[in-house]
Amino acid sequence: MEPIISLEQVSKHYQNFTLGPLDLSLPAGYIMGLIGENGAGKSTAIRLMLDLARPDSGSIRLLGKENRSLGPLDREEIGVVLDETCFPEHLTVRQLEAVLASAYRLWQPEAFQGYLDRFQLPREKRIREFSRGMKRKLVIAAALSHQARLLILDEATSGLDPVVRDEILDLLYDFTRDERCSILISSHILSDLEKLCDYIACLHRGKLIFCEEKDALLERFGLVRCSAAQLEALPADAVAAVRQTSYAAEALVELSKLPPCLQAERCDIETIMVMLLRGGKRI
Amino acid sequence: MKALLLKDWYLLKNTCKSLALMVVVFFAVGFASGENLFFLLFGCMMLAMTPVTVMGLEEGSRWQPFALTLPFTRRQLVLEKYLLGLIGLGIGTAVMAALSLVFSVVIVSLPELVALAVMLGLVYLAVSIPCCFWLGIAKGRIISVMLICAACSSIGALAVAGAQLPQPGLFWPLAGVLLLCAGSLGISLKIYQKKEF
Repeated sequence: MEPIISLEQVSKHYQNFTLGPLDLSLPAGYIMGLIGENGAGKSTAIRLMLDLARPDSGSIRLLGKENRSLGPLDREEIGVVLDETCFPEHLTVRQLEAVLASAYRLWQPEAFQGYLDRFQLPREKRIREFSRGMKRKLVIAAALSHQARLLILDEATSGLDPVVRDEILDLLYDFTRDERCSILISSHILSDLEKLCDYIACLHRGKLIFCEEKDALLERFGLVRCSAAQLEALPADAVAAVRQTSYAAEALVELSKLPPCLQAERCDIETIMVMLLRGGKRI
Repeated sequence: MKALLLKDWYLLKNTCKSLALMVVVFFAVGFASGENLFFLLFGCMMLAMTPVTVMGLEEGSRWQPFALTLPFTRRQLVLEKYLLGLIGLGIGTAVMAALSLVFSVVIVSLPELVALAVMLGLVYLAVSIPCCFWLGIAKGRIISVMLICAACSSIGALAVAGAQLPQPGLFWPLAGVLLLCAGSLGISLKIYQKKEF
């Protein structure tokens, strides 16, 4: 089956920043987390996918079509949450619903009302009076209410408290129970992505550092805490990244290349990313 | 397109009560004074300005890039703004014409008054909308007003200098303005097709 998102040799040049060349693909029915430090190019990559910006080279396909050829009916199948609120803030929620119901053929009013109740969002209040978290919940509610097949979420859970974030992660996970449905989500909250995602793609200064299955990534790497002298004893090809202080060192190692006599701790996605980006070797 | 017009209607309804009041005041002054064409025409112009007013509200919310992720084409987003302007201008002109039948304006005949209002409104739309798409609302408004003032000043200067200005009647100026609008629409579509966010 063709990937639901496919980027091939995509690059975009700005005055002080270049993204790519990027090769990325998301199979249908899976969830991919897009991670990276601030300014790594995550939002730029998402804007390119959504045709909000045009790549200087390469091709981008969404839902099996060139993204530039997606028409209104195709866009009905994509739910988007950008890193800003984006709804006209002088509208009330009720008015916004009327607009969205008119825009989408497959708008689900019961689903939207259900999310409004679940997130406790008032209907008659203007969006400009909402807190940041409430605005974010509103956008997510709208994205989940028109039978989308693909969700593209840029910092969707930022600004939300842990309880609501957990609730939204459950909603997103339920979304992909349909095998046709997929999610691309960028976030700085890596613990959320670790719970949710099947794949993790990491950008650093516009370059793709890795794009792997999350479980494979977690099984591939471990963390060795040792002294500087012990660090020297580690096989060079096993060490992916090192962080040293005056007294001790941490080494991100590939477990398959580590001798059995040496023990490594399991580490999480955040540790892998931080170690690789703060001066680590490329995988 | 219906969803976009609905969105703009709600925005105007929620934010522009003062604008509506100003239009009423301008019309009232225009008709009460009996000879003040400026107030009547400017009242119509204010309703023709609704697309620019709405674009200002949208810019604050960063609506435009998000709208491109919804089931609208760039073409629809541009066309809707012109349609909104035509609706506003149409309403303003119709109300002014209806009130003129009651209160009578002595300076010009009703057909000339309607034609003047339509032409001025269309010229404003034709200049302001592409400027706003190209430069954003703040700069777009300034540039469009400067361009219109420059054109009006040039005509005024020629008249003051005693130049023999042509008397083209209504047909040719109206045809010229419609051509300007068609050109403006083409330019706006081109600008917006290439715009990146």
